[in-house]
Amino acid sequence: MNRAASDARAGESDFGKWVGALDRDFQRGLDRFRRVPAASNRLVDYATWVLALTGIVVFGLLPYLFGSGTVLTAGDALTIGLFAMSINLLVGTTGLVTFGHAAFYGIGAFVVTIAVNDHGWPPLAALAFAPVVAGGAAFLSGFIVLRGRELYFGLLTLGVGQLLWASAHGWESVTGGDNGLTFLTASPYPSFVKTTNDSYWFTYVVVLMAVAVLYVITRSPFGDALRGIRENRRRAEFTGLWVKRYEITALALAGAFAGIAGGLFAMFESHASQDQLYWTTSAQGLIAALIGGIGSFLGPMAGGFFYWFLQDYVVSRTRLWDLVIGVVVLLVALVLSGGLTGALRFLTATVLAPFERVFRRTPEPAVPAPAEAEAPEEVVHLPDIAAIGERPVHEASPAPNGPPILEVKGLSKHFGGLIAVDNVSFEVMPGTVHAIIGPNGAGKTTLFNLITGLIPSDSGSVSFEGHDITHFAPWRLIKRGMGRSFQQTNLFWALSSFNNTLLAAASVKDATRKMWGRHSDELREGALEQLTRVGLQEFAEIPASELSHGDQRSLELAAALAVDARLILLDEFTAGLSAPETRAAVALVERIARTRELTVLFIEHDMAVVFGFADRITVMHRGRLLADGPPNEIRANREVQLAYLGETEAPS
Amino acid sequence: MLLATSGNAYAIQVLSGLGSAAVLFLVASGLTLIFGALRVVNFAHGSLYMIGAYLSITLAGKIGLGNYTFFATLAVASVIVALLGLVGEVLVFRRIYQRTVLTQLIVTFAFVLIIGGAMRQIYGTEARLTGTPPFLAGGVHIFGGNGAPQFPVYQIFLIGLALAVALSLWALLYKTDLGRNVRAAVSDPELLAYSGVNVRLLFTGVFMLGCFFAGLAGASGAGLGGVDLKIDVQVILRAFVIVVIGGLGSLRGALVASILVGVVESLGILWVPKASLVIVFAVLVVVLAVRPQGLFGTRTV
Repeated sequence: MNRAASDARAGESDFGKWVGALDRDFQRGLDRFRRVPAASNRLVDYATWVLALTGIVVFGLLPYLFGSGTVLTAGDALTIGLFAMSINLLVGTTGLVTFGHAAFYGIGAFVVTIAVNDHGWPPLAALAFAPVVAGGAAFLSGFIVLRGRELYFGLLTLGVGQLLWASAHGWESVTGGDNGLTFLTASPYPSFVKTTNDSYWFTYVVVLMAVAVLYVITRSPFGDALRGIRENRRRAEFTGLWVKRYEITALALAGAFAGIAGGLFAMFESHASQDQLYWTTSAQGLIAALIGGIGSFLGPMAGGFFYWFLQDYVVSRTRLWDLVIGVVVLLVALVLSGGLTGALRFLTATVLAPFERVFRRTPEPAVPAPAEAEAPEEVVHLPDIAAIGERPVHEASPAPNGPPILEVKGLSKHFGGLIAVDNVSFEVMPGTVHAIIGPNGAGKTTLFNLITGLIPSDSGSVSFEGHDITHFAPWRLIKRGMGRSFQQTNLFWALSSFNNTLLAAASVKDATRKMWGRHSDELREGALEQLTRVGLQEFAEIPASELSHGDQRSLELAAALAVDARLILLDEFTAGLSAPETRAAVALVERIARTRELTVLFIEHDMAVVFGFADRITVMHRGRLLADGPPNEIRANREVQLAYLGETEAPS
Repeated sequence: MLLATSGNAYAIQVLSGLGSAAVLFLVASGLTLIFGALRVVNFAHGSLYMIGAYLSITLAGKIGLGNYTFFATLAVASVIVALLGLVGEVLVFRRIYQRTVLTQLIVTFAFVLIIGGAMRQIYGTEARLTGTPPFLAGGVHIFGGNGAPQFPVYQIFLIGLALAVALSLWALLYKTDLGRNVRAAVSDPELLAYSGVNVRLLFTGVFMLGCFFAGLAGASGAGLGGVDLKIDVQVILRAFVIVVIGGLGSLRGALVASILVGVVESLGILWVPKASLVIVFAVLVVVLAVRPQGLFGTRTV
């Protein structure tokens, strides 16, 4: 539907424009309709806060409200909830599905017990040490488990987790083997904790503090980077994020929080057991997170409570706990994918919907309003097509001086017997628009992948602005000032347009390393400026996945520009665009290139685009460089004609 | 450990490792087959093993454990497990083929819980033992005379059974049209559907076949050391290790890795009696650290 909409929008006549405008309004109306709950988001957010605060108060007063009977269950539930939240930092926020996280939970438990028992540490010091060891172990495990992706990652975490469990199991002298370890001191708590209620409150306060820290981290620029990695790992790499480093940091953090939870659990139970490291405990945490809702921050905590209290209830009455929780999990996974909090959010939104009008104020933009002075003529949505269409072959700009911005020397790549790129050398001069053309399978995209470090080259070298960048990882290139868009649109799909550009602008400046606060206003303004430049400022809040194909291409360009690129590589930027959209896109790129003194290296099949736009053209054929020169020279080149048209149709 | 000096103990330990490797291969082959075709990692595969084991014990109790009834027991138990697989596939599993890894793992894990709970309701928490049919009872001297340790005939039977299954699976996959379709489905189910093959039915068939092997493994493995309620998790962990070491979806990998894991764990009991599992998982971690896709796996998953 979006595709059709954008085609209609880009109609060539006035009528087409009118239809386009109408269609856009219609689309926006549809969006509003589709996002009924989203429209009252603000209200639901308030409701969520009210609920969360109520929960915090209720659980703080639990011993008074429900008597000491519930305290034992609630204390365990708090720690399993924190454990589930630490899992969710990986699963929900970063998109790393772990199945071995219990190892760090268990390590936390043993660290506290052993430190108190064998080394006479004060309980608080022992508890503070637990996240250090657990986080450290998680950090080290990262070097192994992050070698796998998705399912392999999950199975590797399972393997490493079980290895740690089996070690704890076998190392009886330290961990007590099957028996586990019981605190030898009178109380595992500091002296000010005297009663069971006190120990509950102690757990409550520590969990609350841990959750607050977790909240700050999740909402920080660093959290944004993790969400970006979850949405699109490759895009993340091409916005300048050293993905592995972020993932390993997330692992270590999640391990540390699991360590706190495990330590608290051991203190509350006065006992550490090797069961805590076992993979079924990981599954327990995952289940709690899933039931509560992976997509929400407090969901896993709610899930922990649900899990623990349901277990308490069922186990005290029947022997059917496994069956009950199995069916619950099945239902939640298959039907209620948002979990309890997702369902609650939906209900709240539905109930509150009638009141929305009462509460609605002028919607306050989440992003700073674009400055009026933002040159409107830079916005190219429906450009003057006639002017572009009738333009003669592009006259090469005056030959630029100075050294080339990109220098490719003897680059080669073999895939088995296939020579994809064969000894290719060329130069790109700064400030030019440089096209790479060639029949399908000529090796153009492979060449791009070699230049941008996506695949390693067999031989040859690439240098950018005089520095050797051969074998550089993509994120390093991006930081050096190179941007890239892909043949297949590549965005952070669930993030808004604004956040797509913001994340690109932030990561390249390492602003995403900040684990607290928000992005600086300067970055936000810069990101909005990029969005405005490609004419998407109206759609700032719309998720990338809901944009039309043409707008998605523009957004990709904005993201590639937001990294402050001096050289930008566009791989078939116009792929999948209609003819009018193509012209609009080209006009957009050209305008940006000319006004920002950007160097553009692009792969293109549409010859009208190539000859109307490029200062210089490099032709590839069967992996080799066939010709390299200004458009007029290429157009007259007989070899190029042969390559393109075949021997028989060669023009006279 | 005293006998270890003779070398025979090691040899016997290796052989008995092959015996458990045989059972593990039966489980792992089904698991890897299902993963290869359906791209689902089935946590509940060990639970199917458990069902097969309990069923065979019930059946043996009903019809006795003679030379012929033994085979009837194996066949009936495996077929019932395959039929249970059919029900599970139609009702639930086919709904998760396109879902995320997380959903798949959690849904199949839910079945671990449900089947485990159901088995406890039916059979209680006590471990069950079963015997071996007369013609597979006793042991033989493989090394040395009467003084040397014996090797159980039943384990030789298990090794033979696993080899037979491996051979027939290989023949099925590489020598028949059905097998060609299965392999095609592994690489591109959509394209296969467009060439007129009922992919949905094919997937149901593959799932049932995998379940059949799990049931067979359970029914035949029960004679090795009985069965209790923890067997599902013990079996699935080892099967995972095998399938991951061998490379997800690779039958050859499952065979090689079964032998590796069976023998390593068996020898591990001699070296570090308390922590033979450590060695198994250490092997897994080392193999994957070097080759993340497993010994025979392809990179793209």
